[in-house]
Amino acid sequence: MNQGLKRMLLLGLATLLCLHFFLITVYTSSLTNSDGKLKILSRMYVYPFFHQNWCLFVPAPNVKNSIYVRYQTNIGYTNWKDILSNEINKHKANRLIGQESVCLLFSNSLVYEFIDLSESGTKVYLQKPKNISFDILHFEISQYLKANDYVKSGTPCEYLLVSTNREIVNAYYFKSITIR
Amino acid sequence: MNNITTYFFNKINQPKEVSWFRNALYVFLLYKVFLFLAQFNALFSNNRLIYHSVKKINFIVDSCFFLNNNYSVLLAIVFIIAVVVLSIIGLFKKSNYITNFMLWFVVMNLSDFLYPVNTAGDYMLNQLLFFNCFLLPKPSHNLIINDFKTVIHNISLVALKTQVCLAYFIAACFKLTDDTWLNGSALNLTFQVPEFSNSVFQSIPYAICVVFTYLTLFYQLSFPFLVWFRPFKIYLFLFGILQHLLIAFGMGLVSFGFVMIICYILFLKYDYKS
Repeated sequence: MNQGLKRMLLLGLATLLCLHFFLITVYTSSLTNSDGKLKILSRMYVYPFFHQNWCLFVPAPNVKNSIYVRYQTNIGYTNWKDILSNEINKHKANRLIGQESVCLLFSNSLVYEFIDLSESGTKVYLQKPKNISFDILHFEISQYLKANDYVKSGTPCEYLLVSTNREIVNAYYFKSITIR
Repeated sequence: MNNITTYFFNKINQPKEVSWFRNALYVFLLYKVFLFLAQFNALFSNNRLIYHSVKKINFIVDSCFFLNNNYSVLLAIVFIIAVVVLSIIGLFKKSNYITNFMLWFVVMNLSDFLYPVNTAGDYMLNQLLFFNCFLLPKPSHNLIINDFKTVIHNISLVALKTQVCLAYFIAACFKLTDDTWLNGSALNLTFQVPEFSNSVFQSIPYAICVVFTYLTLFYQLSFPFLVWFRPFKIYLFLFGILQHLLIAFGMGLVSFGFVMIICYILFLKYDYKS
């Protein structure tokens, strides 16, 4: 390959690379939050092939979340059980066997649900809320109880979702739910 | 300009380091498969915990969601076996553009199916696997093709290093916008949350947490600039490895910690001359 061709090829590849990282920077950066053309273009290019998120521990987590559940048996409701704490404790006992996934699953779903519920503050729900994040969380808890406690679909159950930090405790009590 | 052209076309840069990096990547993928199997019921079985929704956007994007959109337990098993086979092919140095591209595609599909449990480590892994497709090509008899393969390898190597630097830099920029990172309380706050902590972390005095908060911030901000200078590299890597091991075993983000440590291999002896 002659020198001129090499230079042209190198220039072309370098341009592609610069464009790639420029679009990734725009996509991941918080500086351009608006839905401007550039942001849309970066979304079209980056998602899903090069999707990434580097907003690591920002804001720093300062909330202890819990998912308390209980369900109906022949002799009445079981005791409340914090399934998120159970999974976190299992993960702490051995970090290398992949319990991380289940912890992240519950934890992420709970964060989205708390965002949806944040406007109402502490509250008792007599009916299932109509939002997708609750549906997802409800699905995950139902599957978990079916797999771990052999609870059957249609069993009445109750959830108590609690978020605690140094200043405030928010609790959301969901009654009259049935396992999916 | 001549020097730059020579640098990119003359030879395959850092073959040893890239080979170590690749092997580490393949071993890590085999570990990921072990995790998939250990958590198979929760992640892939018919009673899995993962909420499933079909995503259809367009043909190109849908290729990333092939597993997700056509999900069956059998297909998931096929994808997992594919990761094992392609990683082992790579470990035996028999991989080529096609096998590495397939590996990227399969891992990306698994990652997109498991999107609720992904961490930054999974996103980084996808980027590493993409650029890994173009590394260490098999030599060709045709000189022009050889030149092309060489420059693609060298550019991909630059891309991988840029990706790592960019990740640290953007993470640092986000932190600079947050009060808890600026006032030094971020790590202390994080360590009070049971999910990202343990009894040892919870007992660390506040002052030490503040020091580590600022060190982390400084580390992430300076990494893209200092990693190119040999005298700083050893200290950066020592701190980075310690930090990522603590993230893996202390905070419980194991995959993330391991992936970031693997990235450091690319910067070893970056100015090595053979």
